[in-house]
Amino acid sequence: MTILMNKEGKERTDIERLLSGWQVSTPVQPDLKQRVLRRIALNEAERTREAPTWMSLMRLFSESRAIELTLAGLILLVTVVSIFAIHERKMRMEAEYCREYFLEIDPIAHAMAIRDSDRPKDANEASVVDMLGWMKDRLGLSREQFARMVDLHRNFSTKFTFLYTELCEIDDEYKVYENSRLNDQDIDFMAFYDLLQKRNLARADSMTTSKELVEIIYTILTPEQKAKFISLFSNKSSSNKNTPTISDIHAGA
Amino acid sequence: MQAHDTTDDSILMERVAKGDKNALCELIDRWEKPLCSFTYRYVQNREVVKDLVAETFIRLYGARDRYDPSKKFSSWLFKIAANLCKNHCRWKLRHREDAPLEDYSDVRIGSEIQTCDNNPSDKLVAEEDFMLLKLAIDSMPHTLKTALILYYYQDLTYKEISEAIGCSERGVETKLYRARAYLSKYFESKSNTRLERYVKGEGIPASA
Repeated sequence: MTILMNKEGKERTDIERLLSGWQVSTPVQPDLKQRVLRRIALNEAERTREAPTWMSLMRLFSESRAIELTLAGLILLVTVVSIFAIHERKMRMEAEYCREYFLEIDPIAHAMAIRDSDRPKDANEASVVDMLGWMKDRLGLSREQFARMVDLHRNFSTKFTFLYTELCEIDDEYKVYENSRLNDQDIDFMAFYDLLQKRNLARADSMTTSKELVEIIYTILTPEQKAKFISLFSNKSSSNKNTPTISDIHAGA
Repeated sequence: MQAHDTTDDSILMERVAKGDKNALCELIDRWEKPLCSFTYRYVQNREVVKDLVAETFIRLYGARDRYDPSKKFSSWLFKIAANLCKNHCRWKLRHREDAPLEDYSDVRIGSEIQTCDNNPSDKLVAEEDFMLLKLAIDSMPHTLKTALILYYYQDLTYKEISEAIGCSERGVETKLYRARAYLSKYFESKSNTRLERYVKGEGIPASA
């Protein structure tokens, strides 16, 4: 064989001559196109059967609609997030209004909450009308019911403010007695007894006033609204362990 | 070598990308023969060639969204075919024990050699050289084999081959050099064996 020659150029020529000698006859397959098209159709049918939604989405995405679909996706995402955020905010506001309203109609709980949280006594809180506005939507109050509720709460608000202030003052005095008792044991027990009596009276008065208000509210509300009213306050106030719930007031009413 | 209009191939491929099956049929008409020729030289089995060529067009259709019109269609087509051939050879290697040994009876040696030798003994030597060439190409590594076939039998340029096998043009040149060196070495070792056979009086020596 001439390839045994050592010169690379000669070897290359021999190899190339040998390579060029290999001629292949390639007869045309008459059924090639049919076979290919049949297999493609089968593959497509299988893919459609396996994952029609996913494949159609991918196809839709690849067919030069990528930008529009991305934008649509982003808009959808922003909308969903906004709806969720608005709903979350509404729920938070509702819980806050609920808590504030409960404190407003229960001077004992109000005073205790102020004492526990150490916040200023006259903090900027939502007005009764604001809270009733929320309740109007929640309980589905009619215009007439709402007007009666506003009048009712306005009438009671002076009494509640007075009781709440009195209870706060009693609490302050009580703290002074407690400090004296713990530090020097030198306190006027008669005066302390009078203070406790005064506190019990104020608490009883508060309870009576709250019950009175709730009873009148019940006369304004329909049975469905009444049930909603009770469930609303039972749920919302249950998180506050130090304050009595509306169920307690309801139990007494 | 096929003299296809590249622009037309790209236009046809764009139509295929939109799902036009008539365009695919046109591409099959154009490229069936070159593809058969490439695949046969790679796997050297006519039955397998039929399946691989069909599979190449099926894969081409499946990957129609990924076709880059800036590149030559032929490069892309032969890249798909070469990968399928490689996978087939791997499969064949793994299932060697199960499958029958490669049958070269389908290789119609006389019809495939172009030779001017009229002397029967020279013709016999030429046929033996030719058989060795086929065995050598069959045993060659994938990239060398692909570069060699595409360059010598499909008349692709270095640039087109580089796109098909995924290397630089300089890399193609190197691979072709290594392929030829591989063939030389293969023939050298086999010629020694042939000489030994001649000494034993079993065969005809290669003409020096």
